[in-house]
Amino acid sequence: MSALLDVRDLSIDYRTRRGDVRAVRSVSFAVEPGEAVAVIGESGSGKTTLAVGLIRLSPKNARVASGQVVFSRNGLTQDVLEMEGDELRRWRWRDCAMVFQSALNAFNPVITIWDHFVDTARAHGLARHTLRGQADELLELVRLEPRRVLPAYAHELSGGMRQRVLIALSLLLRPALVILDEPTTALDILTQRSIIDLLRDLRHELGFAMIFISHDLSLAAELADEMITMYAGRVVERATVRDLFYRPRHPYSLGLLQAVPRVTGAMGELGAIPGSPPDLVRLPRGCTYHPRCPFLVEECTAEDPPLLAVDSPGHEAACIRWRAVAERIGDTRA
Amino acid sequence: MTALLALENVSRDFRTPGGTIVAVRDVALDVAPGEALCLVGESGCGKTTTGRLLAGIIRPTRGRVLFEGHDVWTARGSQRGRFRRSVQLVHQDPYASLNPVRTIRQTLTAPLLHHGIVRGGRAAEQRAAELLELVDLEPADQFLPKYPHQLSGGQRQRVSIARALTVGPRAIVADEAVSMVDVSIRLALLDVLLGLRERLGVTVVLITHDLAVARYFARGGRIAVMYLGRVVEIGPTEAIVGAAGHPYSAALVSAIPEADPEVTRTKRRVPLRGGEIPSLLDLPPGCVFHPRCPLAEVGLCDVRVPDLLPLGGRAVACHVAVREGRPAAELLQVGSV
Repeated sequence: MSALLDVRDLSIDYRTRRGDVRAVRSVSFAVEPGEAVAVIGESGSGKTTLAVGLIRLSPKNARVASGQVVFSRNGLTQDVLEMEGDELRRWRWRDCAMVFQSALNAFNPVITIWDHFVDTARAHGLARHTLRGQADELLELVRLEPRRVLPAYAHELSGGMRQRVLIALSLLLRPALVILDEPTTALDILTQRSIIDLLRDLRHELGFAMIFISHDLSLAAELADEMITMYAGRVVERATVRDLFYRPRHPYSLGLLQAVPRVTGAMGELGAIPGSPPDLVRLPRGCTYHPRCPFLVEECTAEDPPLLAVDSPGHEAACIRWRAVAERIGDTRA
Repeated sequence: MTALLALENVSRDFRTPGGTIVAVRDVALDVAPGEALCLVGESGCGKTTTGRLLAGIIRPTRGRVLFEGHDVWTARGSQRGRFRRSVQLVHQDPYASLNPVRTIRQTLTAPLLHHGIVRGGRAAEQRAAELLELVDLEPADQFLPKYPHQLSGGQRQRVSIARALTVGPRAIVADEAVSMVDVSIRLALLDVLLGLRERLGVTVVLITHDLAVARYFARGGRIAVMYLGRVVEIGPTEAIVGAAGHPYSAALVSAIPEADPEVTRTKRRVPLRGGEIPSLLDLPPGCVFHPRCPLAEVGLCDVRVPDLLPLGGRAVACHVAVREGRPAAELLQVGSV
């Protein structure tokens, strides 16, 4: 079976006053039907540029410099980057929906939640007479009371309820893929928990694939099957969720894991990563992570290492020192 | 020992279009000199208002705020000025709290000169450089001529901390001071704050919604958990994280997603009865947590407001846990693995 989404060698540039900036550099990965892929990284890692690039909602000053985004469903294969007009509009929402980060800004403040359902249905040619039933069903799926929520305006709902409504709206056309940008970020802990549980159940019930973009490792730990670590616009590690958390091979992945304290169990070895996330206009020579890297050797400054297979199947890291990383973890976790 | 800062049954009301809300209700809190204390809770729990009350930014509606035993709102003259300098607030958003058209030099030297802490430009500049080194912005002469926009978020937050230090405070109240900076540098910022405690003996009160941050910051210190304007539990960090005394704290600890797939996917959760947090305009009677609480008892929790009472080394505002003499995490069979 072919992958649902196959991203090949995608690069995205921004035109800025300080010159062209390559925010996403030669990113390749695949999402299988029903799979959950987490893209983790910090500011400047290119994760949000990648997400909005995939669904062709990049700002005007962005330009795809290279690559393909191949989407396959029901035996049909298309390059999303080649789609135009109606074709693109149909693909969005019907095949791939996006849930944005700031749940309040994603709504029109002067129309009710029901009108959002009507608008979405109309834009995608969904029959009006069955819509109320579908809306009720979806809202119940995300554990909201349709009678209370449909006549409300976005500002009348809590942050958690708005996020649920957005998830329900994104599922209206039963897409095969949902992209979520920081879906739990601005929410309180108990609300975060309910959204995470909800996404897990919905995926189980409806079988859609997810790509979620987050700086939050714990969200990935909860929901991901596969993980991608991005740094300075590149994929620096790709692994299953267990490999990435328990056998990281890129120093940046390891650094992120050690930068997040835990509540349950032992606190473990903790520490911040020195320095700051990189300035994309002035990227360091060689491996872009080398100025912050505790595993640095001289060769690291010579060239940016390619993403290559490491010691477990399907696991790749862009680091010539991955064996040293492995050894180091062995030492501390044995 | 006298507390450095204390809230004596403090309440604070706010008028809103929907009516008056009590954002903080009957909070009693002692902060010892040199202590690391975390105020933890979800949005609307009153943690930010409590921080602003501690820092003397807003007046209590009822109750007293004490600095070294003196009521700060009846103090006059030099005593009042001393309090104002002694407790400093560091805001969440370093982008908004630094003046964009002032260099770091100007930002730091202005308060030094204004309060007469040093005399003359050269002494001010030297002191500014020392402060930058205290927050690990070295070499200082590289940072002094810069504007805020030339710094990263983490560096800006360090400048905010350095500015708070210009007036030689005894205590710093840091409101979500690390939640807007990147994950990789959060711990470094917390370490800066903890370092001030060690090197200068400064008391730090950190306000956060993130229990993991609270655990890291207040290890060896104390956590106060707030819910709908009240402190529901206060005590040693490891005791609360290990076996939460109040059912709400237990729910928080059990709900928090953790950066470990095995742990987070198999953790036992506290089953809450109701979903959404009640409105401050329409608080439930009795214990404000009772409509969501799995331990709630009819005729008790929905009638009487629980006091903060001692329970195994901490104080807990829960009728059931205190009566049973066991932390809620044990009664609910959740907690540390």
